[in-house]
Amino acid sequence: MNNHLIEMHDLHKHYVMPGFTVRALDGVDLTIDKGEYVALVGPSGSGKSTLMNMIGCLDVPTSGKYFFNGTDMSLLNDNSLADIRNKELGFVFQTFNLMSNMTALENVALPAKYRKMKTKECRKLAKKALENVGLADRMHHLPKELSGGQQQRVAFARALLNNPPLLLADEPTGNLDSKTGKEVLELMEELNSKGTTLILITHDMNIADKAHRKIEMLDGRIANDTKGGRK
Amino acid sequence: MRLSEIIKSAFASIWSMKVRSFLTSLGVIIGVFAIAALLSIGNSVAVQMQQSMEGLNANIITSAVFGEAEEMLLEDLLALQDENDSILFTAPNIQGEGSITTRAKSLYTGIVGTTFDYAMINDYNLISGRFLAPLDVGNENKSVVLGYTIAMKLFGNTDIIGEEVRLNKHTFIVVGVIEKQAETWMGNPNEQVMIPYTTGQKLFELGQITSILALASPEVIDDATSAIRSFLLQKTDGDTEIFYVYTASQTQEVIEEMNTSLMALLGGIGGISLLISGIGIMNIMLVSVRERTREIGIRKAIGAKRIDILIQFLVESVVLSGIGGVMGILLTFTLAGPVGSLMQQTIQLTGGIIVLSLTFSLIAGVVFGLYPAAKASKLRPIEALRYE
Repeated sequence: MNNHLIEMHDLHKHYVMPGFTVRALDGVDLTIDKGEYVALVGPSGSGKSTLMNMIGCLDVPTSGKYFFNGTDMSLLNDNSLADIRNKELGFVFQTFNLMSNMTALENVALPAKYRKMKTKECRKLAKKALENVGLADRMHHLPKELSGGQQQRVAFARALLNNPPLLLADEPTGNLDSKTGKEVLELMEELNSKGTTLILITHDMNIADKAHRKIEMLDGRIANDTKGGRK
Repeated sequence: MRLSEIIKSAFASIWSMKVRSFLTSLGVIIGVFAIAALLSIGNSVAVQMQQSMEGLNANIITSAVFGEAEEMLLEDLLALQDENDSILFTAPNIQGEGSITTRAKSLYTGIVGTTFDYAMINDYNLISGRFLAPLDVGNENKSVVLGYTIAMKLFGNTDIIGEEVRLNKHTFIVVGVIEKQAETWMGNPNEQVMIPYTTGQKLFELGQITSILALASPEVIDDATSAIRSFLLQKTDGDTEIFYVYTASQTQEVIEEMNTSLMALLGGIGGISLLISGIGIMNIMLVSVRERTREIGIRKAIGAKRIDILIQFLVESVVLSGIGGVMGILLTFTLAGPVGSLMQQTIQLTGGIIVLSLTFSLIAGVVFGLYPAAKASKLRPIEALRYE
C-alpha cells in the first residue's frame, strides 16, 4: 500500500459544443497523498473547478483513470459514488449551499440521515459538529438568520460530520470578509493538522501560500506544481 | 434516508409553500369530493331502489301489449289460468287516473280496473269491507275499493263502507278499504282505487284489457312466464316487439344493472376530476423539481442516492394528494347534510366509499408524482449544483 489518496492518469474532460470542443481538462496526471494540504489556483476557465468536481465524484471524466484510495472510480456505479461522497468526502462551497428551509442543526445532520442513522443519533452527532465550529448557540437558526461566516461554519460542520478523510473547499472564503475568512482558514489548518487531507480552490495568493502544495492550472493542464509552498 | 425522515421533510417542504400546496391539493379535494359525493348519492339511490323492491312479490308476473292485437277477454285470462298449473291467478290490470271526491274533499288518484283475483295476486288484506266480487264485474257495478291513504285523506278513518264517492263525476259506493301496503317501484298502492274493469271500460273509456297481472306457483315462475308469453304471441300474431312479460326478479336484475351503470357513470365523472387534479400535481411537482434543482445537487453532493431523491419527491406528491384526499372526505362529510337535503336525497358516505376515494387520491399521487420524481433522481450532481 502506498500513501496515495488521489491518483489521476491522463484525465480528460471534454465538452462538445456545436462547432467546437471545450477541453476543460486536457491530460491531467496528479497524485495527492493522505494528509496533504493542496491549493488549486489558476485563472477562470483553467479547469480547476472541473478538476475539483472530478476529485469529488460529482462529474465523470471523458477519458483517463482516477483512483481514489486505490479504487478505480470508473468501475463504480451511481450508488457507490453517492456512498463515497457521503462517507469519504466533505464539500464546502463558496456560496455555502445550505438548505434554506432547514435549521443549522438539520442542515448539519443531513449527511448522517443519508447514512440511515437513527434520528436521535443524527442530532447528537450534528450537535457535536456544531459545537466544534463554535455554533452551539445558533443551532436552531435558519441560514438566513446567520452571518456569512456562521453559515460557512455550518457548511464545514456538515462537510465534516461523517469524518471524511478528504475535504474539498471551493473558494470557501470568497464570500467572507477578511476577518471571518481568516477564522475559516485557521479552522482548515487545524483540520489538516489532525490528519484530514485538504484541497482548496482559491484566487487569493495569500491563502494559496498557506497551503503546503500549490497546483497551478492553465488551459486544462497542470502548469505548475510547487510543494512546500508555506512561507 | 429513513422513511420517517423523508415523510417529515416532505411535510416541511409542503408547509414551506403553503399557498401553492393548498391550490394543488384543491384539485384533489374537489376530485375526491366529487367521487365520494357522487358515489354516495348513487349508493343512496341504489339503497332506495332495493328497499322498494323488497315490497314486491317475486312470483308476480307483469305483462302488457302496447300495439295492434286481438282483443283479450276475461275468459282468455281464466282459460290461461286453468290450462297452466304454474299460474295460480290472473287479473286484468287496466290503469287509469282521475279525481275522487266527497262532499268535503277532492283528490287525484290512480284507478285500476280489475277483478277479484287482483287482491289474491297482490295478497291484499282488507281493513274493512270486502274486495271486488265477481258480481261487481259481471254487473258493471259502481263499487270501489280504496287504498289506505286515499281513505284516510278523504274520510280520516277506514270505517266507511257504504259511503258514496264521486269518481270522475260518477257516483260509486265504497265496498272496502285495503290495509296499508309497502310502496314499490311500480307505484304506491295506498294512493290508488280499484273498480271492476267492466265498469271502467264503460264509464271511463279505459279500453280493452292490454295489461295482465298474474301470480305464479312458487318454483315454476319460468313455466308461468313462458305460458303467458306464448299466449301473448298468439294474440299479437307473433310480433314480439309489441308486448312484454317480466317478473319481479327480472326487474330486480334490470335495476341492479342500472345501479351498476349509475355507479360506474358517477364514479367515472369523479375519476375524471381526480385525473385532472393528478395532472395538476404533476405540473406542480415538475415546477418544484426545476426550482429545487440546486437543492437536489446539494443533497447528491453530500451522499443522497438516486432512490433517496426519487422517494423524497414521490412522498411529497403522495402527501400532497393524501392531504387533498383527507380534506376532500372531510368536505364531503360537511356538505353531505346540506347538499343531501337540497337534492332530497340521503347522502350515505360509507366506509367503502371513503377507502375507495382515498385510495384513488393516493394512487393519483404516485402515478403523477412518478415522472417528476424520476426526473429529479436522474439529475447529474454537477449539473444540478451548477443550476442557477
